[in-house]
Order: sequence, then structure tokens, then C-alpha cells
Amino acid sequence: MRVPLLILGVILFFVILAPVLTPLDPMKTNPTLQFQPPSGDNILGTDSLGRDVWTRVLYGGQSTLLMAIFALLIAIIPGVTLGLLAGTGQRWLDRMIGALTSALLAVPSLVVALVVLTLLGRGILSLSIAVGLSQIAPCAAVTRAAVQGVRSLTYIEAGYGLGATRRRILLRHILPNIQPTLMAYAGVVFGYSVLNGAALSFLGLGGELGTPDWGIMLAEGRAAFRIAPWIGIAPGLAITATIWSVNTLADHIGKR
Amino acid sequence: MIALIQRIGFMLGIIWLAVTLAFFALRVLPGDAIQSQLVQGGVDATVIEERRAEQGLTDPVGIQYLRFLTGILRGDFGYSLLSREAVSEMIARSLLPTATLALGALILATVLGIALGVIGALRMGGGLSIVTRLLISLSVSTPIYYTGTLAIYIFSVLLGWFPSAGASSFNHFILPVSVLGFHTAGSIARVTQANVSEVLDAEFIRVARAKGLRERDVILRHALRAGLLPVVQVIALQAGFLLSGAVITESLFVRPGLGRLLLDATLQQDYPLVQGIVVLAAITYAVLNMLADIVRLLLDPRIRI
Repeated sequence: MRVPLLILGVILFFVILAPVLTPLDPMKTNPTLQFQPPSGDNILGTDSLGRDVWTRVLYGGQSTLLMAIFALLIAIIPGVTLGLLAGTGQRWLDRMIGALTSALLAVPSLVVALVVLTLLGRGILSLSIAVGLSQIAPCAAVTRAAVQGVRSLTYIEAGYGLGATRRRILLRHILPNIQPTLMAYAGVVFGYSVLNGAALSFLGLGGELGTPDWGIMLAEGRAAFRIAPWIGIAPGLAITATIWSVNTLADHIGKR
Repeated sequence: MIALIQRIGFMLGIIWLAVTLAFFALRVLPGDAIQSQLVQGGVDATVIEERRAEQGLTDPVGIQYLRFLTGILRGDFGYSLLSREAVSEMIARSLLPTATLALGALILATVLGIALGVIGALRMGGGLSIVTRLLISLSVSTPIYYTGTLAIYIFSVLLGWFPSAGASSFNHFILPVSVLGFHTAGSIARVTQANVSEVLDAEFIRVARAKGLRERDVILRHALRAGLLPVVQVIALQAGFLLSGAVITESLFVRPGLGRLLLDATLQQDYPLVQGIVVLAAITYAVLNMLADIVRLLLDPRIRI
């Protein structure tokens, strides 16, 4: 429990304080300093355009984490709402939402992402929409299953018996009880968002070219893996450490 | 019997809805493959319109939709806007490499995922437990092409055991399947671990132990049967995501296949080809999920569909 919190704290500290911690500009290219290995001037070396990798990792975290948080909200808000409606509403509503979520799951997420990115252009917000949209359906399915798990418990039925309204039971009894499941799942969605954003960057569809972003850096690092392995290692480790910490924390909250 | 017919009807409904969503989502985009190809080539506007009319792209969307739906029913998916080849033939050509990749990865993911999940749930402690937890964490928190790149570097460049690109022999198959399978295993392992460890605390496990069953029988015959029930659903869901995983894996290992075909077709707005692949993906998804329901029915006689 302490380890993931510590790791997340350190990552957030470095990412938020990037302007203070590094004097360099993450976008500034320098043709004379291409592919420099780590040294005193560039702790993590430089990339194919001579940009400082350490500086880009710090600034890159800002766009990657923001993107993942946006994507999480885009997935969770409609997803949980649909799931609650399906789990507590009338039978026809449940059927309808069930069919809709199954259909959404059956469309390859890459098609959804590509349509969004073509329509909205590149950038953090459109990337998070592209990544978040395809997570709505799984979110709804998980919420619905969680609601069904608690719906037939005695105290919920007692609530109805005492004449509580549907709305009151939903907000006061069901929601607090499925909260751990939702928290744990939110961690999973966050992880998927970072990974899928990175995957889109790998395919050349990520954020705006040149902007620092862990996914884009990792893709650039892969292209130069054999001559300059240091470019991809730091953003790769940052992605893995972030997702692992968030997942572990979310699991912990889920078990409580 | 009636339940089965209902289930199949529901499945067909899902496929129709998915295909329809994809059709209209693609039509929201401005332009199409012919337009962008010819405009770039500096072709006259009237010629472009002629070519588009030839492919039926100038008809009202409703007409195009009806033609698309009736085409599917006849098994006719139309022709690629760019290569003018039949979509069904293009898909058929790419199907085998992707199907073998996906199937291999799914088998590896199922075996590895259940093994890791069960070992994790037994809480044995020690080195094995740490390795298990590490593998599960890496599987769900590392981008697939990062591990893929490392695998290429270690096994192709340094050791020279497997080729890094292509799809012409069994040796070409090992690395992509291992990488895709490893990353699919994590979710299966997590669900297995959660369910099996929950079942291990259940009353009937205590009864099984109390009546003197060997621990091995308690786990294999009682705990796993109950604990793996929800895992079946996850495996079916993961199978649906394999196409997205194949897009990355096929790009990384330079393999021909449906993933690459889908990526190129979507980028070039070759609508008939994208639609054809979406139809196939939706059918696969729906059939797999129905199979999962049937397997669950066999595992747990209490469930009624």
C-alpha cells in the first residue's frame, strides 16, 4: 500500500514540478546533439532531434496523465450511468442497454479511435475521447453486474418494503455498496487509457507531433532502439510504474 | 429450445447493431478513399464524381446502407475503393495469419492466465508467489510494443533464435504469439485470482477439507470448478480484444494480416473494406460470447440462459 502511493507521489512530484526541475525546453531541437548517450549535461541522453530525454519525460508525463484522466472521465461517467440504469431500471431498459453495450463491444476499438481522431484532429483531448469512448461499454457492463450483485440483498428489499423510492435506494444504498468495485475498475480503465494512448502513438496516431508524451516518446524510442536504447527506457518505465501503482491502489480500495 | 432461439436472435441483433453503428460512424467522416486518392493525384473534379458514382458513393446514405445490408445477407461485401478487389477475397487472404496468431495467443493466455491466477490465489508465499505477481503486473501495465521490442532485441538481435519479421514459418509465429498471449494473460490471471481466492474461503471448501479430501483434490475438483466460472466470460471478452492487439503485433513483427488490413483501410477511408472487417469482428465477438454462455451452462447447471 505504501509503495504504490510513494511511487505515484514521486511521479506526480516530478511531472508537476517539471518547469522547476529542468531548465531545458522539451521542444527545443539541437541538430549537433543527436542520439547523445546519458551524460552530465543530459542525464538520460538525447533523442533523434537532439532534445533532452529527461526534460521530455518530465513534461511528457503532464500530457500522458491528463489524457488518461480525461479518458477515465469520458468512460466512467456515461458508463456508470448506463450501468446503474440497466441494473436498477425496468426490464426493457436493461435489455436495451445490454444490447447497446454488447454492440459497442463488438465494434473493433481501433475503428472507433480512428474515426474520432480523423474527425477531431490530433491533440490531448481528441486522443482521450478516442481512448475513452471504447471503454464506456465495459464500464456499463461492470457497473450493471455489480448492481445486480447487491440488488437482491435483504437490506435493499427491506428498503423497498419500507417504502423508499427507487432513487433513494439507488443513491443511498446501492451506490455506496458498489463503490469499491467501481474504484477498482476505474484503476483498470486508467491503465487501459495510458496503454491504448501509447498504442495509438505507436501507430502514428497519437498526440500532436513534437509534443512530449510518454506514448510518443516510447514509439520514437522503439524506432531508434538499436542505436539509442536510452530514449525509450525512461518513458516505458514511467508508464509501467504509473499503471502498476494505480492498479495496486485501486485493488486495495476495492478489497476494503 | 425457445431460450436458445431467443439467444441466437439476440446475437443477430447485436451483430446488426454493431455493423450499423460502424457504417454510420464511418459516414460521418468527410471524404472517402477515392476522393483523397484522386485529389492528391490532381485529377479533374468531374472525373472524381464519375468514379464515386461508379462505386455508389454519390447515392443517398440510406440507399447505400440498404445496399450494404442486403449485400451482407447475400455474402457480398462489395469491392475495395482503392484496389477494386472483392472485399471478401482480401479478407480471406489475411484471415489465416491473423486467426493463427489470435488462436495461439488465446490458448497461451488462457493456460498462462489461469496458472498464474491459481498460483496467486493459493497465497503460498515465497519466490514463486513473487514471480507470479511480477508477471501479472507486467502483463497488464506494460505497452504491448514495449515488451515486443524487448523480445525482438533479446531473442532476434542478441540470441538470434527467432526471426523478427515476416510470417512464413513456424519460427516466425513464436515471438508474436508469446508477446500477444502474455499481454492477454494478465486480465485472465487477475479475474482467476480474485475468484479462486474468494471461492477458497467458501463453506463448501471447508466441508471438502473437513471430510478429509486431499488438498490437491479440494483445489482441482471443487475450488477450480466454481472459481473458473466467471473466467470463461473474461476469456471470451479478451478474444474480442485480440483484433486490436493483432493490429499492434502485426505492425511490430511486420506480419500480414487482418490487423494491418484494418489499420490501412481505416486510414485510407476505404469504407467497404472497413465494413467487411467490422462485420467479421462483430460475428466473431457475438459467437464467442454465446459459446462462453454455453460453457458456463455446462460448468454450472444452476445457470439458465
